Amino acid sequence: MMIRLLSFLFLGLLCRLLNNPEAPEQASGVTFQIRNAGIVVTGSFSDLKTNIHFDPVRPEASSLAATVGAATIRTGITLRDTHLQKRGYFDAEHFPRIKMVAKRIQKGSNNCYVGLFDLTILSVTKPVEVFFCYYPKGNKGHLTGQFRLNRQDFGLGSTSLVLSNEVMVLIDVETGPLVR
Amino acid sequence: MLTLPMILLFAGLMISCSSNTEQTAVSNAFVPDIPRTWDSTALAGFDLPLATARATPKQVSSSYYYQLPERVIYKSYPIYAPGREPKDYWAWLQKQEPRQAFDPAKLKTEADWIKAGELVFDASIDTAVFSLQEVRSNAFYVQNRMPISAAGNMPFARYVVLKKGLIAVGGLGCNMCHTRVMPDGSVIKGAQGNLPEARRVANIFRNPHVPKEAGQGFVRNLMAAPWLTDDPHTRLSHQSKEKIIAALDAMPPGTMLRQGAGILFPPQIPDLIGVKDRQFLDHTGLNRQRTIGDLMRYAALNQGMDNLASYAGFIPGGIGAKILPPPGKGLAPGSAFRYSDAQLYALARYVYSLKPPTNPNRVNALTRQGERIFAQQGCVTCHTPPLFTNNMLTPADGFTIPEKQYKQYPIFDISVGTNPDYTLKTRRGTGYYKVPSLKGVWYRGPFLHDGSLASLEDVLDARRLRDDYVPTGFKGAGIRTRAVKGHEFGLDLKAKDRLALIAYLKTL
Repeated sequence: MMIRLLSFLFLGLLCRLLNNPEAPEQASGVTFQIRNAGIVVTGSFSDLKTNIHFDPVRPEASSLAATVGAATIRTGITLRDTHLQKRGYFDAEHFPRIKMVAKRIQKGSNNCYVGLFDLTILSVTKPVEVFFCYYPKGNKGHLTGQFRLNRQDFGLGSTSLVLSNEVMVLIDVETGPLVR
Repeated sequence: MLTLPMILLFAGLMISCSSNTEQTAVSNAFVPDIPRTWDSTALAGFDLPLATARATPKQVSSSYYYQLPERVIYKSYPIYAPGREPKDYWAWLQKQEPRQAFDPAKLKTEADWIKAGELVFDASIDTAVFSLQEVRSNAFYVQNRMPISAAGNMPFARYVVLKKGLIAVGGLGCNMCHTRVMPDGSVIKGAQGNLPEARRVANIFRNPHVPKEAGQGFVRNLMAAPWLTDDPHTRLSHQSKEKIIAALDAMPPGTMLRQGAGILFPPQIPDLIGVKDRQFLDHTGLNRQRTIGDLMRYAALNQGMDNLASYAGFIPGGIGAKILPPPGKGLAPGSAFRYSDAQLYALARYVYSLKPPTNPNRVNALTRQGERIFAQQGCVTCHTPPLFTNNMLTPADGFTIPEKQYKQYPIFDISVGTNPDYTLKTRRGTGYYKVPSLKGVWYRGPFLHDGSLASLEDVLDARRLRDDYVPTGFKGAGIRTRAVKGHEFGLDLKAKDRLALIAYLKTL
């Protein structure tokens, strides 16, 4: 019951964040959440590198690409992080970057958009649909979005009795100057 | 008066009843599907390579194995502590004839096979390990602080009648290591045993009539891994009796003097309850368990056959440690006979049937909090419910996983940093430690693969990482204080969370 309540609160918070015209002060990068034995584990990636040219008026003309370092995964438990960097999960030695490249961006409601991205983890590339919103701030802005993926679609780990397949990924990146 | 329809109906009922009776009889009949133990194909994938690959044991051939005479499982009798023996028991025992206890022709049901397996579990493979004089003396119980059951018996060995009036103490049965006497005197068969065997052997060596060569030979034959550079046990085998005694004294009950393992790096005795669900056997994952046949192979190996394996030419039970003795002429314990396949099958069925005792620890608010902490701390990743192990192998520090093994075995590719010596410097060393199950920790201990820590409280005590820590379990020869490193999870928990986690673990 407590877990359900927490999940509900979390989703509520996310909805508020996505619809709030006030952008967060600083981009928080790439985080993710996954259920493990009924507990929501939150993790993050860093070493974010972006190549973003975003036009909120003509999103179809935008180009969005980002990568993070696979070895930068952090979940709050050092040995778990080490394990996740190895074969069976992110194999950071052989696949050091996780990549996302936009293939198509469509305008949604208000300041929000739907993007189709190619996500590459390990040697697997699959399309993912990302719902995100744009928060301008001066000549820059934030893109804040989320998507879900099935970790096994990308070869991340194997079937588990306790670890969920579904991962929610939350992205908050700073855009460069407007392209218009 | 019976009408034709009534007769037909009656006849039909009779046929129906008769058919049901036959079906019942058929369903009760148990036809065991007994695997061939020393099957060369099955053996080929049974052993994991050793960390020093060239020393990976080459087992005796199938032809050799089946030339060994079969063991006879005799009826055995409990050994009582002095003052606890029933009146006239000893005199009664003197009048008994030897009786074969295992006869597969008489086993009709699955329950029969399991019961017969218990006889094999309790059966000795040696009558020289314990002496009659020893187990009937008060000193044996006092000096060794020998656990005694509520019934007054010492359940780690049993009397066997060799011939009428000639009684011996049968030892080296499965019961010797896998029997636990609880503080209330109850006995858990199959659990991590608590026979103080190292203490007993140390006390034997203390006898001034026992020459130092006996101790040195004991270490060399049981523990040496001479292919290693500067093998620690080969070194120990050249040292004084006092040094060997000190090494033995450092081993607590719950660890065991076991061939191929170590005195300097002793193995914690595993719990056999629930072993059916393990994919690997031995702390080092030395053997795979793919079928019941593998457990049979494991029992055969560990009850003597591994003394005849060749480790890069070193044969522990060989003539001059180099030449395989003729079948049936081996002098190493357990190496002159073999179990029949039927005996091993019954034994494996018995081991698979073992159930844990009723757990006195109940689920409550504290344990539920502990369960949450168990998940939050990520314990579930390795100790995954419902088995509380993910059945994977973790590499020890200093071991590089051979590339092809990534595809051969389920490897959890991080070291948890526990002492690597057992898996790098013994005959059982694969370079890995398997992830142990946490089931039944409430009745077990000491913990970690070498039994360094006596209790769960100690495992979760951050002070164990300090050099001035006094290990509560295995200390190490001549060592008073040392850090017990590795598996450093949950050490920074708040006291109340630690309490909750331990309470939860004790419900498993």
